[in-house]
Amino acid sequence: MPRSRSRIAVASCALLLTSTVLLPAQRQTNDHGVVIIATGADAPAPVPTVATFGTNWEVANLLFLRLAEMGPTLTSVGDRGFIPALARAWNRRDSLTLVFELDPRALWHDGRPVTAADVIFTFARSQEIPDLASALRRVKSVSAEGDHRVIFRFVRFYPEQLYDATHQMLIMPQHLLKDIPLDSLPTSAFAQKPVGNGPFRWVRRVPGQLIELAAFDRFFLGRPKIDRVYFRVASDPDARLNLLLAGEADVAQSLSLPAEDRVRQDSNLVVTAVPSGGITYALFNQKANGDRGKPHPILSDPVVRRALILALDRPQMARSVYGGHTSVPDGPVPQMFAWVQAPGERIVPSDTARARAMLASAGWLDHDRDGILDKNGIPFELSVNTPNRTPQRPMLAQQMQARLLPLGIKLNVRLMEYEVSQTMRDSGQFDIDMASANLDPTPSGWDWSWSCANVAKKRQNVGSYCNPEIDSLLLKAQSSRDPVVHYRRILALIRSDAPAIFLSSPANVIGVNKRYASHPFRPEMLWLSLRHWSVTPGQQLPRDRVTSTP
Amino acid sequence: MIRWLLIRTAQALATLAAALVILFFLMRLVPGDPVTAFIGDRAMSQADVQRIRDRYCLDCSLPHQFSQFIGRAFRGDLGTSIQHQRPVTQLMAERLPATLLLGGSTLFLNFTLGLALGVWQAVRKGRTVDRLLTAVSLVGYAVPSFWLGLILAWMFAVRLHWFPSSGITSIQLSSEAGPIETALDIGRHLVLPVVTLSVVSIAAMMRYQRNAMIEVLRLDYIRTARAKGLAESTVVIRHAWRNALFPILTLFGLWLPILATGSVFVESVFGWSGLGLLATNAIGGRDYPVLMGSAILVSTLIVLGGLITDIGYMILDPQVRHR
Repeated sequence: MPRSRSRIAVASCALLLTSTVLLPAQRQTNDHGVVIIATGADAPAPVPTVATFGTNWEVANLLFLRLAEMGPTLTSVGDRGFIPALARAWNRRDSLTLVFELDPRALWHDGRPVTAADVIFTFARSQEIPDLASALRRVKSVSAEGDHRVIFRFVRFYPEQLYDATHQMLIMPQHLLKDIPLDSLPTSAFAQKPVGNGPFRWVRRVPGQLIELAAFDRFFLGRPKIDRVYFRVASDPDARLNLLLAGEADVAQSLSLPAEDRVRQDSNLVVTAVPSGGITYALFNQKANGDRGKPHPILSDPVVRRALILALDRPQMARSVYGGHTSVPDGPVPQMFAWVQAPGERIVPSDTARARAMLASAGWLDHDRDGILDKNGIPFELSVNTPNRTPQRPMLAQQMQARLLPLGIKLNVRLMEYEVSQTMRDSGQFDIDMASANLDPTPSGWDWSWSCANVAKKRQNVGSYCNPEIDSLLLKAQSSRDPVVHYRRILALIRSDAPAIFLSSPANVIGVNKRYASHPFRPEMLWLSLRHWSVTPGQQLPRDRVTSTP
Repeated sequence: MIRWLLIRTAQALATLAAALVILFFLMRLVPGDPVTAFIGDRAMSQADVQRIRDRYCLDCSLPHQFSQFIGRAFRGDLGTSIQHQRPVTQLMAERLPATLLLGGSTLFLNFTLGLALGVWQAVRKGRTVDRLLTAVSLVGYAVPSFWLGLILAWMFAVRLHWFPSSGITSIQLSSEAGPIETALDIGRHLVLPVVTLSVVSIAAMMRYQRNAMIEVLRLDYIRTARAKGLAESTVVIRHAWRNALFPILTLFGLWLPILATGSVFVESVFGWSGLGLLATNAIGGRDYPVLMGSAILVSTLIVLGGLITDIGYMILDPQVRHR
């Protein structure tokens, strides 16, 4: 007996040792963990239809799914290249009808199944919001056949039917939202604690401080390895950089060039550049500054506009401001849909001698020998409205000023508050506007800023650029099975008409902690792949072992 | 005295009302449009833009907007933020505790450490310690807070990891954490922003208090008190300090609004989500409802600061009391 007792004691000790030493070791070798994202804004209502941008939208995209996601090529046209999400499959009944088969395993975070009724409800809700209704204007109806089959009918054939049916709508729960009117949604209990169907579920929000999400254990496409996602709010870019450098955050996006250099010097961090939807350009006003009834005395001449573009070494300018991750497009083409450009196409290199000759041929010479070109007594002097929200646009404007002065072109850079610059832009009170835009991942939105139909409309074609052929090509592209041909022709026209100096398509530069084994980013929605992230086994930090907050 | 107090309070309320009317109309004279600011670089249709304009009555006449604002304000409703799309009172209530904590801690340090050091210096006038503290306070006074904040964050958060770089609480502070654990966590986050804010203001307070004390310590009644054989501590604290407090009382009135505004820069650099940051973002975004809410709070504190100063003078100075 004593012997057996001692054996039991030894066995117990061994068991205890195993549980205290080996189990934590086993835990350490798994690839789960947390991600702390330093973000610039809070997310008080991360709910589709309320959230359309910023952190609200980013969080909403982790909580809610679409029927399908864009594929790695980010092509918005055709039915191929999309990845199943809530819909496990789709097919066509005819050119006007798309049928989606919902994945029967899909669940809301409250345990209820996702059904066709939710998709119909989401579509109906979208009709109450003018912008969404406009984006979905070619969807005639959405109906159900049973609980898991959804039928989209379109008013006519166009190549982005699947894109519209999937990308535009994050599916919302009918059973929780049907009694909440749209106007009450931002302040509703649902907005404070959203119930979604995505890979992460809502945990809590500390106003102005953080948002916490947790992996949804019953996520039908597989539980994420990231157990917790925190969005740490810090409105100041320096504060976000400090969070990353101090190890208090794992990811920070939109790093400036100096910030990128500091991140590169940190051995725990890695820099990743993700294609973005952003473009920066100097928009020419083709109408007189402040008077849309008259042509601009200088910029209405396309030869002058082309000469201005030719006089600038745009790649060098872009690199000096955005670093090596930027590209220079010859049209409104962000990196995100660079596929629309013809392969191997390069921008025309800078040629100041040719630019000078073109200006001379257009009658712009220094007649009075004051160092500034003139024509019919009008000096070549333009104002450049430059919003001061980010440092990049003023830097680009100042470079333009310095590079054009030797040619006898005087630019007056007018640095102004963003809101003031937007008001002046909308009312046509500018010669050149240092603009930037974040575009949807489709060239079909070009009509917004570059079509005759939207000339002089507020926030749209404020430069009053009009080439009717572009309108016609846009229409053709929207009904063609091969719209890329038309898009490339539009780009050629824009290149020839030179309505703007396209200065940069910058990438989104992101600093990430090195301990993640994989950290894919999605250009159209950065955190969409967060469910595929994992931590390199053995490199977990203490905070990766989540125990707090249920 | 009660009559005086009533008249002074009525004057304060009239000042507050006038300030709010002027602010309401001035804000709308500033170029820029709240909806334009709200939309930013995103594309939004005319219909959606108009929907927002209608919701906030931005195209209504100014008198109509003002009457709406006043009517709601009397019911305790300051409207809905254009940028945040949430009630202003809710937004301010969320951020007020953080601002009060930051501003309150700074004011507390100013009026304890700053005053004590100023008095200490004054009674040691001309000695090495006085000269040293004078030099230190001059340096502190000259240091720009924005630079100091960045340096402190870099040194003590990024390099040394002694204090957190940003935020009010740790991200993984358990919701079941006890009050002591929570207070310690908040305290760690409070150190760098409070030090940044206090370095300049304590230096200023020391200078004011030192000079005021030196002036008083020269007066005949202090010499008389010492001649009577009173202990030096009694002379300094009971006789001199009381009279040296008048300029400090004025400073208190001027600094009271710090309680509500904190420091925009410090809030920004240290991710301290307070009212100062809310108001600054509202200025950029032309978020009129939030701006008016902030204006009401700050104006009230400014007026209250003046009132408290006057009452303080009356209590401390018999000449004022009997005038």
